[in-house]
Amino acid sequence: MVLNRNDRYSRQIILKDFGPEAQQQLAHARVLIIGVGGLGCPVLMYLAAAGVGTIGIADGDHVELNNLHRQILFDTPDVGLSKVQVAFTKMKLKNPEVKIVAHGCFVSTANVFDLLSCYDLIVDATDNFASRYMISDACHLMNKPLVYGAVSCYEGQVGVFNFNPNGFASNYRDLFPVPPAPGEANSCTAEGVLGVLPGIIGLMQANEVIKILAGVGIPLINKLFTIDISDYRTLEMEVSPGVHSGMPGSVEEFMRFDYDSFCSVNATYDEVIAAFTLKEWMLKEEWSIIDVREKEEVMENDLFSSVNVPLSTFKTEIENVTLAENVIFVCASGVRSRLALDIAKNIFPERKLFCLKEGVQALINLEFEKEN
Amino acid sequence: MGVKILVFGKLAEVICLKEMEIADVKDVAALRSLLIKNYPGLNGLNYIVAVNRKVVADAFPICVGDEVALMPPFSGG
Repeated sequence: MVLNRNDRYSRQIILKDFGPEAQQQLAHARVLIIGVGGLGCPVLMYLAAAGVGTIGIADGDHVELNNLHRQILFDTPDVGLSKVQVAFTKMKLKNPEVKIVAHGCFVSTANVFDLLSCYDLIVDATDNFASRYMISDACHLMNKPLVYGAVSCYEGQVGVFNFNPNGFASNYRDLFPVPPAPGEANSCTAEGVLGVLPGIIGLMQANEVIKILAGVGIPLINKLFTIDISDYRTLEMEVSPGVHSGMPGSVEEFMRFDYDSFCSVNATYDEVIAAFTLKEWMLKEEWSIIDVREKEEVMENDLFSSVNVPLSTFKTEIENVTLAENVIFVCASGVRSRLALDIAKNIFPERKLFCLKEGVQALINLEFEKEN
Repeated sequence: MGVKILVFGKLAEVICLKEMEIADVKDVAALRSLLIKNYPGLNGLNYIVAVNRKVVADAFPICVGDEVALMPPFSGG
């Protein structure tokens, strides 16, 4: 069948206030979606379908079975594959007219400026505070509009930062100047999330992107929209641009800013240790490695001996585990292990407790280096 | 008529209410203190306060008839 190129977007082009010019603006736009998870999947699928010309996707993760109930871009055979690679292949089928750029890495202070410089607008679809503060600060320093979205159990938030054609633009730090302590805010891993929620919030983020790029409607500029999908209670609140207290004032300050430490005020610097440090210390003293990933995430061939106490049941199970004098909590990326550390500190105030920086992959890599 | 308080996210779990009304309170700082006194579980929790749908600082006055929202940050995605 021969496809008429103009027909693909015809239903949105005929929309009042949209037209061929708005479609052209979408086609010329470059949007970076950071995080291809519950929020990132719907954002990506709808922006690709709508004809946003270049879409970058950044995520270093692989598809897991427990992702599928909300990350609807991924199918069962995709489990174990790179998220951005799967997304790249599927979006080429959905719309070969758009250019998809796959960045198979987690965004960090080291790569964020290079990444952001290639795009006009950034979508925060991440799942942790350290990334959210870092992306927001980088967008502020680089003057890039940021479409923010976040979820918690049955509630979601959407907002537009660093963008206001008519005056001052607010920043994520104007809304939340201080990050919460680890374990204070609900996370999808520990508290659960209804699959449709990130779908709804991700679609609202995609809607904001399209409105900004096409110049239609009224985006949530300097506003935070909140919805509770359990009873459809909604609230829109105004955010006043402030002094951005605590924000790095220059690229140099940004590069020195430790976002991980900033967002885990209860985990001191000394408590978060690197894999090679752990390896050295383990030669001298007895250690218990507690893996707080969920049971289905733990691979049988993981190259270190550990006890699995999933974060979802951590509070009740950890007290029944026999622990060595020194205990280190590990997880996939280093986020959940900090939450576990925070909980454990209240239960075992006398014990030496640590968490592993960057997660089990760092340990596995180290073992792998030793074998070769 | 008092002050209507809308409670979101984890705060609603602690308070066990999504909405309540209080008699009178001077400003946002006084509201925070009153809430911690009545709901000790709020101690240490991080949240912003919006008065009549505008995010405000702790010194902002609260009047009878105002609608006050308590909003924690969300991180999930």
